[in-house]
Amino acid sequence: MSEKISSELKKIVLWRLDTIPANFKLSIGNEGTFTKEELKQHVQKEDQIGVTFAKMQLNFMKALASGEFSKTLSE
Amino acid sequence: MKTLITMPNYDDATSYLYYYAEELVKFAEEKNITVSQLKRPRLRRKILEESITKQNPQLLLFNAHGDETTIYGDKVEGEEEYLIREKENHQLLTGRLTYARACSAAASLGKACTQKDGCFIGYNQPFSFWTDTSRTTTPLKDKVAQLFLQPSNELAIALLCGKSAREAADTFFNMSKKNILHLLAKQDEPGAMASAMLLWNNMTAQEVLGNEQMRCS
Repeated sequence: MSEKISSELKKIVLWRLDTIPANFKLSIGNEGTFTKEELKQHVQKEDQIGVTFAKMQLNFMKALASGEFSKTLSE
Repeated sequence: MKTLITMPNYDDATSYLYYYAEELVKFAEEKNITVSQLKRPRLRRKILEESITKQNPQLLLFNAHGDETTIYGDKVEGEEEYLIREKENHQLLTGRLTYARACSAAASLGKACTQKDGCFIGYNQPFSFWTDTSRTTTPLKDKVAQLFLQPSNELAIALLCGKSAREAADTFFNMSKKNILHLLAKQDEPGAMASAMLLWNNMTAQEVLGNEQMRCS
């Protein structure tokens, strides 16, 4: 996969993953289910799973920053 | 109302979907709605195609893995068998009301099968959820997964109750929103913001394609 994760985003995503409880596992479609440690490895490797998860985090941060998130919740 | 539901169960994700789909079957049966359940060993493409052609269900509820062009069924001899694939047999969905609780199928497949008639509710990105590893064997008791899967079950229940596709999709959206607000109220709790993030992604990935006013009776 040619898409990569910027170093700034990678730091944020890895920090975010550190805050996730150890008993959480992510089910992400066909890709499988992943513990936070596994997710961290995928983000470090910048493989498809890592990129997908980083994109989800970025999408959320953009919504927070643009006000879209607050606007939607207030409607 | 004739309904068909697919119920794969071969990995963690499909196991959760299977248990939640069983809740839908129970609900439908209590309402005397005819539900054709496709689960192993009957969860095969040929049987699905025959069931749609012969029984002519108005409502199709897919619980599955998916991608942009495909909804999958069971794992057969180590490989996921496709049930519906764009340009192969997607016409089977034309004119029907479909809800695909599956990844990404709204991105292309949903558009293809609603070009002429019908409605497709799905997700244009991965449909994701957190689970609690201590509840893997009892998915319905998993309060973490419930945040994500109950809204999607409520969507299907709304369709079974005869609500329009738009109304049903709004049910999903509003319940997800309510769950986010609940999480924000306890944002210091570990995992709360991670769950809010996934809920937001599922909400924004949802699409209603085709005739939004379509409903089954």
